[in-house]
Amino acid sequence: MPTVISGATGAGKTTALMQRYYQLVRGGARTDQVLVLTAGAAQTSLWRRGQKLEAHGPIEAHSFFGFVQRELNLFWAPVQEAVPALSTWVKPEFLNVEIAHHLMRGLVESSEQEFHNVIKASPQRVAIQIASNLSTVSAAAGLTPAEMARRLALADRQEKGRLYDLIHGMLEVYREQCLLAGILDYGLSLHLFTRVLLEHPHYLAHLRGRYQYLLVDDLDETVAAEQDFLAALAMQMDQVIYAFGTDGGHAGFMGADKASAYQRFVVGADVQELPGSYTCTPEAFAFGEALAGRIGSADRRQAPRQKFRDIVEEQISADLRGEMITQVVEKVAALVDRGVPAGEIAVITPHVDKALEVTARQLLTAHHIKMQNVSLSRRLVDEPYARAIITLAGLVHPHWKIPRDSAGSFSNAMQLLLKLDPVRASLLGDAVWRLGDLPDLDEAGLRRRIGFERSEAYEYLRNWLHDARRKEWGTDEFAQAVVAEVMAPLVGADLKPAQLHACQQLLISAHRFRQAMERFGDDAYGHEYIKMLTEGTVAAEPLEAYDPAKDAVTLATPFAYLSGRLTSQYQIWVDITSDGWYPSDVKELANPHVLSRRWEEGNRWTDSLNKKSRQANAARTVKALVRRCRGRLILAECGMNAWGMEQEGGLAEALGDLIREGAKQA
Amino acid sequence: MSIILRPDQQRVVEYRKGYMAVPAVPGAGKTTVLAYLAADLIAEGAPDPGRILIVTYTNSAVANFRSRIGDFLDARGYPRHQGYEVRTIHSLAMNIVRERPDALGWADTFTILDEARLNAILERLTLRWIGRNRAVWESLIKPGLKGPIRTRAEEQWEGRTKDLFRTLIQSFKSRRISPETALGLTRHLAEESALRWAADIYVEYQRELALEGAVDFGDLMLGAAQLLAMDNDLLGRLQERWTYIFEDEAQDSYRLQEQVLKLLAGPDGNLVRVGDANQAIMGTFTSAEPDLFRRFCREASVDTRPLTMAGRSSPDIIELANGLVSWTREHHPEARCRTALEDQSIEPVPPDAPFGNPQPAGYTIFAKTFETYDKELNEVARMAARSISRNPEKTVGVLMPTNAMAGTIVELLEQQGVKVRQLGGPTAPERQQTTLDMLSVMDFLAVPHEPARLLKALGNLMHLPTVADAPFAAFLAQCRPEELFFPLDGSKPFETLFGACPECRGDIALHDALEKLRTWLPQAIIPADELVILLAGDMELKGEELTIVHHLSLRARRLLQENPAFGLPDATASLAGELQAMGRFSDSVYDRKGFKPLPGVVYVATCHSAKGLEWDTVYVTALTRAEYPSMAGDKVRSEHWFLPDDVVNPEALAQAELAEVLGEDPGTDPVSRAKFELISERLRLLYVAVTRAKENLVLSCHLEDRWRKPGHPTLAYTQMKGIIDHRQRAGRA
Repeated sequence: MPTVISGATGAGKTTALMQRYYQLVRGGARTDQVLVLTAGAAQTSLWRRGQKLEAHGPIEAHSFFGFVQRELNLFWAPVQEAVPALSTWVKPEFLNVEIAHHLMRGLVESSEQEFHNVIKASPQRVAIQIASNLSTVSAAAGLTPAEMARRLALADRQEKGRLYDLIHGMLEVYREQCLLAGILDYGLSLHLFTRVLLEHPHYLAHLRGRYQYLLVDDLDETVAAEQDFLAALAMQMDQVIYAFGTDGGHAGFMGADKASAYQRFVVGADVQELPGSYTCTPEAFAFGEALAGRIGSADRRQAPRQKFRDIVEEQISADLRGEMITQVVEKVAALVDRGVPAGEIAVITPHVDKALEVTARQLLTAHHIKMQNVSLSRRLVDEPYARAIITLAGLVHPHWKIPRDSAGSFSNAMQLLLKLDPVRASLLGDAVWRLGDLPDLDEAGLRRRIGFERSEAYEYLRNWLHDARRKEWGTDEFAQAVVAEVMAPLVGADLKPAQLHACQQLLISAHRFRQAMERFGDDAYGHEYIKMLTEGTVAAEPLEAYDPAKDAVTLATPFAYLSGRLTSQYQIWVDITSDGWYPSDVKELANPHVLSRRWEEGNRWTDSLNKKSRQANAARTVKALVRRCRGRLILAECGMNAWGMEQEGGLAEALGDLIREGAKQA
Repeated sequence: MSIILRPDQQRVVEYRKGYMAVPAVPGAGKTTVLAYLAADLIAEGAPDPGRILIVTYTNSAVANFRSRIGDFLDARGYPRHQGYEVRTIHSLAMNIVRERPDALGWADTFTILDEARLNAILERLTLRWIGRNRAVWESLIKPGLKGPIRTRAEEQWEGRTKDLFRTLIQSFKSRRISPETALGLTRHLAEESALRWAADIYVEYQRELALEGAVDFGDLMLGAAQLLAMDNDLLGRLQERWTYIFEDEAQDSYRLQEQVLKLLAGPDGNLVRVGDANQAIMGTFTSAEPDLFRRFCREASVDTRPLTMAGRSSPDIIELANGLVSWTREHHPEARCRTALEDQSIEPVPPDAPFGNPQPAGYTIFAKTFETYDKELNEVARMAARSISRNPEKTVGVLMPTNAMAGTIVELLEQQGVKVRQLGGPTAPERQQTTLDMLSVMDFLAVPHEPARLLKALGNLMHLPTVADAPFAAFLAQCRPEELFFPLDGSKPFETLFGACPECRGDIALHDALEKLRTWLPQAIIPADELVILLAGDMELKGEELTIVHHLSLRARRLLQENPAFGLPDATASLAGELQAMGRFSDSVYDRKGFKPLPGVVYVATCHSAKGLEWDTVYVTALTRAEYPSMAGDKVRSEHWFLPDDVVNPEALAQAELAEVLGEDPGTDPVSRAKFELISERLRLLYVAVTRAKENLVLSCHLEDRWRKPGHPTLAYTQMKGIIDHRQRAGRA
């Protein structure tokens, strides 16, 4: 009988599961006989560090998708046998999410009019919903595109039925193209794994030969397809241990099905409950429960049974958002002055916009306090050195028609590559823009103004560009050449690690793109990649991953905070009147609830269901957040949102009764 | 806070359930009465387990309500913010839509187009459409026009065509007609039909918006109405949340708004609508329909409890306003205008009321006719200035027909050294200053080698009224900024300036500004939205200014999302085009706590933007037939001089066609009807203007306009002048 280690956030489930792992290995099991499945890369890396073991073989810890990819690589031949379209390719290529979006966008644009008769969303957003939310989530639920489209059409208003047919058709075309190119996105990978490999007569037996023990962390975050796999594999294992978070399921919008996991694996299992939480006080635990209860309550006028006056240290209330941000930062500074380490303070908000991020960072820096943003999302096209590469690409290949409405990109490129001050860079950039090329400095009368020292660097760049025009480049080759032959000699040691990192990302991203496009037999990949970059779809990863040990204030959305399993002594919940605290999983095209296994086809998605789902998301989130707070909360609200509209409600209503003195009793 | 209610107010606050209409004369204290009623209901627990929803027109009205209700609740021992919500209608629509954007097929990140962007899109689409359909478009212009006159006609027709499309698109939306339906309904119409043209544009316009994931305010209201109509669950839930609906300024409601509020209230629910049909002045440039509130007041199931007493104005001013009403209803020479004003008289409050009507000494209403427009404005400015200087504790308002004329009088007043504030027109310069400062700095950082940009940025950072007069201006205008900021010869920055302008060396503000610019220059390669916030931090902006800059950053982010390749010059140029929208945002921020005229300042406003306000002394100017048409033969703006008589008002014709294709009664002679509706609305505008005054009122007009053409006083002025002259003579006798 499988064992389930069950508990709330911070109860110590992962620790308990790891202890079981060590017991198995110390008891004689080889590490490669124990398959550990986790919720994602960050959790996997915790397992793979393999501390507390004196010696060991490979540690078989994977995210489910990571495992799927590896297995498809290993067992490509039987997959090819079953899917002749794949026969051309020696091994699969895995499509990253950006390229998937880009390909889908091309298909969406050809049917733009049909979409925009019914919905209001940019083609990019539509492409993301189809390629990610719909394709991925339906595959995770084990649905084919046809099944997905049918369910959604029946659950929604009639006018969208036609759209779902269209989406079905697009996904079929997209998948067919991917198969012919031997390129697999998440959806296709899952489909091939679950419907081809798992159904191969010898595969499961082979797995039984490899593994004897199965450990699964974060069972509450598993998708249906993974649950099917677990159910099939578990039957073959000597021992199976699951860790199940009673208050988890935060990745529901990506198909995580906690209720199904509970039904299939917890009911009837040997359940070991871990009580309480190591990461919060008993009062906070009770507060989390009470607050979650209030959120879902039909009648908030019922007086709460208990008041929680100590859990909330302070309530910040401001008219304007800017004032709220300033007061939040002042509070952080006051806490640090009191001796609270910066790393023990988290600022949590539904949306991390630039106003909040940059203002907070600026004000905190003035107090000599560091901040790290867990929810950082930047586009590669915003990184200055990446832009410089794009600008040079445009100069070398004018026929790529890279957008350049002003001299700005040229000025910035001159500033960075020639280490020119911004004014001289602007002067030169303007000349480049007008000419469409780097001018002769003497003919343009600019040598003296630029200065003789930088003139040499300019001549070098100019000659390099003229030479570069003699060949047709792929973007990755070009980027590589720019880094090696332009940036290295001209910028040298002044190229900071973060900037070099951005260039490397561009290189890697361009290389992946080329590899993918070559599979499609497309030789227009040069400017096509630049187009993808300049559409803003490629994300920039930060140089330094978030480090929970760093003594810096954490800025995060609730989801990022919880996914990172962070804990803090103080949490500052910002913008509590915003409806962002009641997030909806449901988009204009994608509804993960309708795609879940438990949804009955033919049912309609109603307001009541929608409201319950938003309340459930809010309740689950606040409960989990509170359980990761070892000290107290600070709540911040403002009366007017960033667009000038009044902002009332949100969490403030549910919170108010719990912590406010003298509330009117029903 | 306790007040003594008058009998008419008492009747209103006795309301407890059902549908109630409260037609209220100007100055009746309807905000106070509604707030009192709300507090009473909350104290009794009547809305429980829901709350009262109060819908009003402007952010400052929202603030006023919150403040009054809060005071009344406080006085009753209840928390100030409990039991009610106050929203503008747009904010309410936004709330409703955000419950279920997915059901409408909207991205949950949808944005609302502001005026500037809406106009830019419409202009582009209109010009494109004209380019494709030039022949038929031109064919409407009078055939005889040639040369420069013809050119001017085409230019004006271009602009009017865009406005026409805008109005008709809103009409389609307010009748819930989709673009496809609009196309289907209009295909059979003649090629020259403006309605048919508008349907074409509607399709393209909605497509553009959909591509951006954007909506306009018409879509917002339509979306809210559609959601409530198609989703009974949602409707039920919102009905449980808002168990009472109060609507203020109901005379400015339009059909979608009324539909939304009636849906929310439900047929058996609680709906209180307060308004004054005689103050319905928004119809000719919004979708407001004054008849809606009138019809509501007459519905059998609606309990009508008027507020007929007003303590704002002196008995003489009340008498004049009532005189305008009775003359219009009984004697207006155009019979079709006699229903412009409802038969309601303002009554002064009882003599024993705690705050009685003002009782100025003598008859303080005047009517003055001037020979020329210039003389009128000059004299009115002089009188207003004198009024302020003689009575600095009193408030003064000058009401003009248009923003352009308001601007002229603002200049005249400023020349006299008077403190002036213009309402409703372009945002006051001081409120735009933060945005302008930021844009000028960004403009410089975008192209720093251009000296003119440097000068402008410095002028803004140092708050110099005219940077050209500064001692450093001459040098900087000709300088090489690279040598100023980053000299290559090893000298310190700015030495080239101080060498040429030694007295500048001691100017700390100049140093500070130059140093800031020098620090910012290398940072200008970061995305524009981040840069803006960084600059705001360094400038140590706080409060409203910081909020305005945060908003600018949001707009910059949106631009960068739509145009990822945008650099700082592109972003700055685009943001400069959104200045008007930034101004509106600034106004909403500065006015969020409510607005009340202050003594010692002359407020200049159009009559439209004076609605809801009051001053001790009011000047109502330019009361000519050009601005306030009186008769069928008078010219009106919606009739275009360059079009033949049968199509002279293309909007009226198109609206009549729309009614016809929808099976409604198009009426006869839509052009005349439109003219009489306009005349009627101008009469109401005059009524609003007159009733802004508490103690003193001066009406004026001119006999020769600013283009030296002869003009005539509007008939209503002549009529009121008769009353005024008679009273003044009686006073002297």
